[in-house]
Amino acid sequence: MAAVPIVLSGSIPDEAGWESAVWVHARLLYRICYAALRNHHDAEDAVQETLQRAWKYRHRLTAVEDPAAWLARIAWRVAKSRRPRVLTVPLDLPGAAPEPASHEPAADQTASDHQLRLLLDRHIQHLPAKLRQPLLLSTVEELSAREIGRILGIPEASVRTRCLRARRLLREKLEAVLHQGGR
Amino acid sequence: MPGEAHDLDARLDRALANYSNVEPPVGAVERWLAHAAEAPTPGARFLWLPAPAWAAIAFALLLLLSLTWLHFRRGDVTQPSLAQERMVIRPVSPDVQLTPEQKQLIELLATDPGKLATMTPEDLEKLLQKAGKNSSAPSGPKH
Repeated sequence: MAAVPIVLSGSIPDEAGWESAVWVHARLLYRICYAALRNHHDAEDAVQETLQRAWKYRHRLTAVEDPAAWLARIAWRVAKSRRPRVLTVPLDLPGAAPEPASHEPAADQTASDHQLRLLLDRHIQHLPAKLRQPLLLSTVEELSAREIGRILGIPEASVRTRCLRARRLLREKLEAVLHQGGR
Repeated sequence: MPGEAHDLDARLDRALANYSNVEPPVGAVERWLAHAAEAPTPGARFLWLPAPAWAAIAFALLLLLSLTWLHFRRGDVTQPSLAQERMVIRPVSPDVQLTPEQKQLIELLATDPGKLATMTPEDLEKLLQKAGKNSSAPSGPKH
């Protein structure tokens, strides 16, 4: 997505400038909040709070180098603060392992992918925060490793390393569960 | 199996790529814009404090109330102040009669021991001798 040039430097953006910035970055903010909260309703509320905070400090919007990154950082903080501290989904719920496949190959694939997504969701929630946070942000297609690093306040190389480690860990866990379910 | 491993990798990639592939609901942006100027209410955020924070606040309030109560309860008992107290030198028993020299020596030791250092050795010796010799305290049980 192309970044919106906000040219009102050093002053509070006018109504049109503010609205156009919101329209352009709304999807990014929504995806960031959704990645952290995994719930549409919570993500909507989080974006609302993000924009309320951004509105309060909108005079900075004209001065920041990258408005998308600035808004993304606020969205991530809001979503993180809204994320429940105690995980409510245990890993060993019944149904964690995939059920035997049906007879139709296409249906098999869809059901299997759906189950994999559920499994993935559970296992991502149980990853250490250090690995989970960059991984979640990396699933937002608009964000590069550099931008994720700026949001989390870590170097770009660390983002890549942590994402790789998280992915490897997830793969091992999923492989173990799938292997167990295949027996 | 290499084929299965490759398949899992591909599926994992696909699942992660679609993990946050969502769009804002229709009309959401208009709603956000309409309410963007409203400040998040601090009271509402305050209520969202986690349970341990509430417990800590309750504990601090309880502690404060207890300390205040204890403070007022003790307020009736006035603590003696050494500076305000007048020194009265009394013998330890009614049988013991202190001589003026003994009283002088005790008072001096209690109030201004530094004065002893300024006395001449002769005066000090005289005072000690008088205080020691003129004692009328009983020396012990007599059989």
